[in-house]
Amino acid sequence: MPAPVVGLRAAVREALRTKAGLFGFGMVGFLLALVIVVPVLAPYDVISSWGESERWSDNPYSAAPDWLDAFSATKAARTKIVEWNLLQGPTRDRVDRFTYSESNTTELFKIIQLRARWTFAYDGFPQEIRLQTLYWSTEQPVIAIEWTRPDDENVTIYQASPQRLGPNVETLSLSSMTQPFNVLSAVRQWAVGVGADPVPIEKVRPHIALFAEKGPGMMDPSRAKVLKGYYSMTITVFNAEPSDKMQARFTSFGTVFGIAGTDHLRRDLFIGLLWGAPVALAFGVAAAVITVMAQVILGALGAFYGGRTDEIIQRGTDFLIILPVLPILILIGQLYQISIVWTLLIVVMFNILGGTTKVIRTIALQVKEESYVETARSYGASRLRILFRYIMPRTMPYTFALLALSVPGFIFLEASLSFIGLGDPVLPTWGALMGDASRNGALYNGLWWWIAFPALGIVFTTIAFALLGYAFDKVLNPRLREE
Amino acid sequence: MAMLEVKDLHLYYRTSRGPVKAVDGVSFNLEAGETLALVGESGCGKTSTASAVIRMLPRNVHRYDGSVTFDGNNIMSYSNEKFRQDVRWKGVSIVFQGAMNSLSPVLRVGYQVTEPLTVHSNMSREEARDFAREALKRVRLPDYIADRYPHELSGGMKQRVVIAMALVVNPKIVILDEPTSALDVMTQANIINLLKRLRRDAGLSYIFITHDLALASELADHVAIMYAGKIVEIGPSEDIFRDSKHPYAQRLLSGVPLLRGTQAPQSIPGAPPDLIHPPPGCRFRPRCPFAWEKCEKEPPLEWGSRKAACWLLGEGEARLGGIAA
Repeated sequence: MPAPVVGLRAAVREALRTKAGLFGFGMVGFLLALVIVVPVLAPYDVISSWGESERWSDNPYSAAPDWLDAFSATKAARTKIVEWNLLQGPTRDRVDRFTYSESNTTELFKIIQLRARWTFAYDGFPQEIRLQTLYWSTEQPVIAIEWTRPDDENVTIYQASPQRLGPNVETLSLSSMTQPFNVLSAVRQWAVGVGADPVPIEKVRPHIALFAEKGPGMMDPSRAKVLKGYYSMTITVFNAEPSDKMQARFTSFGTVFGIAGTDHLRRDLFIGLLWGAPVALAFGVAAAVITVMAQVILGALGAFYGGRTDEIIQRGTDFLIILPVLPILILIGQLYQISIVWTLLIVVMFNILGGTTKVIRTIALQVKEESYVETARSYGASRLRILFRYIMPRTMPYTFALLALSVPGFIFLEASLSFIGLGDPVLPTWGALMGDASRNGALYNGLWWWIAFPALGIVFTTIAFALLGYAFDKVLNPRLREE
Repeated sequence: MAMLEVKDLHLYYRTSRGPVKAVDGVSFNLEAGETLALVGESGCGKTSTASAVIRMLPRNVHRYDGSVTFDGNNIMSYSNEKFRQDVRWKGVSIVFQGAMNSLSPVLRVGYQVTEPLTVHSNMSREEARDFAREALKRVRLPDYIADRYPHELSGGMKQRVVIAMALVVNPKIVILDEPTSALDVMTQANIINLLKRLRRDAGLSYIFITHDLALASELADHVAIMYAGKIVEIGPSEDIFRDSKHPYAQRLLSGVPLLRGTQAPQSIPGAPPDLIHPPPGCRFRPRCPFAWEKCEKEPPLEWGSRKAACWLLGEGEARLGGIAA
C-alpha cells in the first residue's frame, strides 16, 4: 500500500501527476487567467451598462459569431460604420469618416456636403441600415441623401427639410417603414424603374434593394443577389445658413458579429461570457470556501468536544441538509430583488452545516484518538491549540478535495437562479444569458450561440473543478490510488 | 520526603456493565533520581496508574481519588487549569505507549519537539528552533532531523524524538509507558542506555511502565508488580528479582524464557480476573497454587522489611517453603 499523502503541498504535487489533476489545474488556471484579463478586455463600466440599449446600438441584433464564415462558402456581411463627428456612441477603431466639405453659393447660403465611399464585398445582405444625423439649423434648408452603387446607379433616397429649428437629432432607420420619411417609396420607385418586380410598400427592404443586382428579383429577399463593389453616400444640405452645422453617422449592420454573436438587444455576448467567468468563479469559490471551511471547523469542533456540542452540531446539520435551499432561494428571489452578494450570503447561511461536517467529524473522531493528541494534552496544550494544530491539519487534504468538488454545485445553483430570472439584476452571468435566451426563444429562432456558449462556460468550469476534486480524491483515498 | 508520594489511588471507569476497577488503592513512593518500574500483565492497570498520576482521564471516570503529593504539594487538590500549568508544564512528563504514533505526521520534528515549550510561553521561532536543536542533541540526534517529517525517521529515531519532547520542559519526573515495546533489541538497548545517561545528567526520576522484566531489571531501582489493579509486591529491584515473595511475582519472573538451561518458561493457568467483579480477598487467589482459607481476606502489603500482599509471608512462610521445596 502506498504511503498516505500528508500535507497540502504533497497532495497538490501528487494530484498534478494524475491526468485528471493536470487537466483540472490547467482548466482552473485558464479561468483564473481570464479573471485577470477580463477587466482589461472589458472594463467594469462595460458591464455596468449591460442593461442600457444605447451602449450596444452599433451592433446587429441576434447576430451569429463571425468565425462561422470559416465553415461556409459564403461570407456574411459585417457591420460598417461611417461617421462625421457625431457625438453619440463610442468612438471605435475601424470606423470610417465622411469627408466634409462646405461651399458658399452666395454670401447668405452655403452647401454642406458629407460624402463617404466604402467597399461592400460580402455574399450576404446587411441586416439593416441606419442613418443618424445631427443638424443645427437657423432656417429650414433642404437635406438630400444620395446613394451611389457600383453599377453607377444614383438613388436619391431622401429629400426633406428639418421640421424644427435649432439642434436637431434624427435617426433614420432606413430599413424600417415606421419612419415618417419616404425612403421606402423612393427606393421602390427607383427599383421598379430599373426593372424590379413591384412589391407592396410594406415589403420594401432598402437594405436589400439598395445592395442588390439590378433585375426583377431585386426587391425579393429570396431572389436578390448581392452587388459587390464600391458604394458611396452623399448627404447634401442646400441653402444652409453660414452658422449651420451637420453631423452624421451611417451604419450598415452585418449579420454576424464578434466571437460569440449578439443577443436580441444587440449586446455583445462575448463580453457577457467573459464576465460570466469571474462572476461564476467568484461565486462558486467564495461559497465553497466559506461553507466548506465553516463545515470543517464545526465538524472537527463537534468531534473534538463531543457531548452536547457535537449533538447540537449534528442535529443542526441534519436539519440544514433536509432543508430545500433552492425553493427557499426562489421564494426570497420573488419577494426581493437580490444582488449576487445577497444570494451568496443566503447560500452560505443555509450551508454553514452540511455533508462536509459529517465527513470531517468522522475523520476528526479518528484523529483525536491518535496518541500525539494525547501527548499534546499531556504537556498541557489547550483544546483550541490541539484542534487547530493537530486535528485540523489532518483533515486539510480531504477538505481540499471537498472544496474543489463543492464549487460546481454552487456555480450551478447561481446559474439556476439567474436562469429563472432571480439572479443579480445587473451582472450578465452565464445563467442569466441562458435565461434571456430561453425567454426570447433563442433555440426556436436558431440562435444557438446564445445558449451554447454560456452553457459551455458552465460545463467547462464545473468540469475543471470536478477534475480537481477527483484528482485529490484519488490521491488522498488510498483505495483509489494508482500504483 | 519522597518527590512523589502516591497513596491509596483509585481510578474506576464507568461502563455499561458496572465500574471497572482499573486502579484500586495503589500506593508507592518515588525518590528524586530514582527509577520505579511498574511491571505487570496487560490490563493490570499500569497505564491507568500513570494516567491517574498526571490526571489524563478519559470521559467515563467513575471514581478518581486518593492522594498524590508531588514535591510536597498535594496535586490532587489542584484545579484542572493549575494542574495543566504547574504539573504538566514543569513537573511530570509522559512518554506514551506506542511512541511511533506520538508524532503528528503533518508537522516537522523540530516544531513538535518544542511544542511543549511554546504551548506555555511566547517563544520566538528562532529561539524555539535553537531549543529544538539542543533537545535533539540531548538524545543524540543530528541537527537536520529537526527539518524532517516523522515518517522519514526510523522507529528508534522517533522514540528518541518523543523522549526529547518529554525532556524539553525540564521535568522532574518522566513517566515512560512501554517506551521500547515496538523496537528491536539493539534499538531497545540504545534507548535504555540513553535513558540511563539522561537520568544521570539531569537527575531525573522515572516511572517505567513495562511488561518486559529484563528491561525493568536493567533500569529500575525499585520494582512494583501490579496485578488486577493493585500492587502485589513492591521493593528494591535486587529483592524482587532475586527473591520475590508473592506467588504471582514469582510466576511472572519464571515466565521469562531463558536461552540456556532446561527449564521451560512457565505460564500461569487461568486468566486475569475481570476488573468489574474482582474476586474477593486476594485477587490472585483463583490462580494461585498456594491458596488457602486465609486468602479469602485481603492480605496487607507490609510484612516487616518486605512489601508483598500475600498471607504466606506471615504465618504461611513455612507453608510456602514447604511446598516450594
